[in-house]
Amino acid sequence: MNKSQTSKLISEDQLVLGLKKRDKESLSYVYDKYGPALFGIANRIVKDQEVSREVVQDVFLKIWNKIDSYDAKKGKFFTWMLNITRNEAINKIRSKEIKRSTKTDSLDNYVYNVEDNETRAKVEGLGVRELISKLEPDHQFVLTKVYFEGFSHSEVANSFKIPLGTVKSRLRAALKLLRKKQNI
Amino acid sequence: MNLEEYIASGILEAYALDQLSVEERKEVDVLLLKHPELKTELDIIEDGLEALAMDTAMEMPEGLKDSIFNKIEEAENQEQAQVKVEPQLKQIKPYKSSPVWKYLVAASVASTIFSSYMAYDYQRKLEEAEKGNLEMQVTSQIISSELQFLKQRLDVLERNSEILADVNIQQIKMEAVDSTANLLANVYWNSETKETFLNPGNLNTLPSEKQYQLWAIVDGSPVDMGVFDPGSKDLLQMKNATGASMFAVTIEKRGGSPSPSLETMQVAGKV
Repeated sequence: MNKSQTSKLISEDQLVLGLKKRDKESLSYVYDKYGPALFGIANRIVKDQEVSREVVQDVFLKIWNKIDSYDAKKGKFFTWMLNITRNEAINKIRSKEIKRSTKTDSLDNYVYNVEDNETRAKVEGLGVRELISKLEPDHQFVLTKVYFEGFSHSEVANSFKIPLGTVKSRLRAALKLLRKKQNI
Repeated sequence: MNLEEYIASGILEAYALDQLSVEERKEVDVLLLKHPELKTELDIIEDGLEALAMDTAMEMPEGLKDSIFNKIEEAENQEQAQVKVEPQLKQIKPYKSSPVWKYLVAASVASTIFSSYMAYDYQRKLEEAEKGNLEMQVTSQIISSELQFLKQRLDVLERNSEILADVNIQQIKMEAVDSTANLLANVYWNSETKETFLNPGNLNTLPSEKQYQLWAIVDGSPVDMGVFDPGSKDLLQMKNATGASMFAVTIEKRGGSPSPSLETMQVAGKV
């Protein structure tokens, strides 16, 4: 483990500790540091700026109010926030009955979607967009659906007639390749 | 188990993204504890998910942060308002300038707190009472049996005193036949009604197969007056005696003898 990772882990622990002590500075720091990432996650799922705003507000209220239910043994703090965000976004879609098309004309649409104007703004920095576009179409598709659009593994499996095991292994392959390219 | 295959299946990614059923999750939890390699891989995956999210971050809408913190403060103020209700009660004074509704609110709050306290207090007292109740029941049983005992004693003493108060009653002091023994017993004989009562006095205790027997000497012959055990402080009613000139107590077998064994005579007294 290198030095920067160590310091990041400690600061994550400190943030959690601060939140558990009801320290608003900690929440402010979490907002500044992770807010944009969480907003991106929410926005790619609900595909609406205003609804994303509602989602992220609820997410931060949840982070503030439910911090005691976060257990560091079960995973990283960011993973916890990421899943809260995904769940809030998906619930919002369901409550607003925003229809999510699970139909697709072709995989190319998804390649294009990742690269269209709206998504381009969302998938920025460090050439992630490029990295994604270089993935195999099958992998890119599962990554887009599951990671970016918040579909569950089984939704993707059922809707697109892909075996569940394949959804899992493709998502892994895609994420692994991204990690490699990002040098994580 | 082949850990490489397990990892390659993508189950850890599904775990990190909360895509597993409860059973599957538990299974992974167990394996994570068992195999540190899996935990290491999961950490890598989670770092990757974070990095990807950071790299695909989006600009936050303006005012969102303020809006979030306002919501939090609002909620806090509500909490504090609830917490502060009690101390505020002390400050309630009948200022004429205050609008009536404030008093209504204050009064209702006060009444709520008061009735809550009363409910609490009542509950506490009830619990104490329930605890105390058992003790009280036991105590009350003891008292009641003592009372009954005293009542019986009183009845007996009343009756004794009635007996003794009768003008026709005659006390016959029976003293020890063996002058070295300090024994005493009394017979109370009503010559009118012929009723005969005995105070066993300080006669010695006897083995269980023996009993004292009272005799009346009528016309020079002993007449059985009944048997008794020592120790009673009450007057014992014996058989009626007519024309007795003397009373005596002998030790006989339990149940008594038809004729006294004179050598066992303990006390005797002339009328």
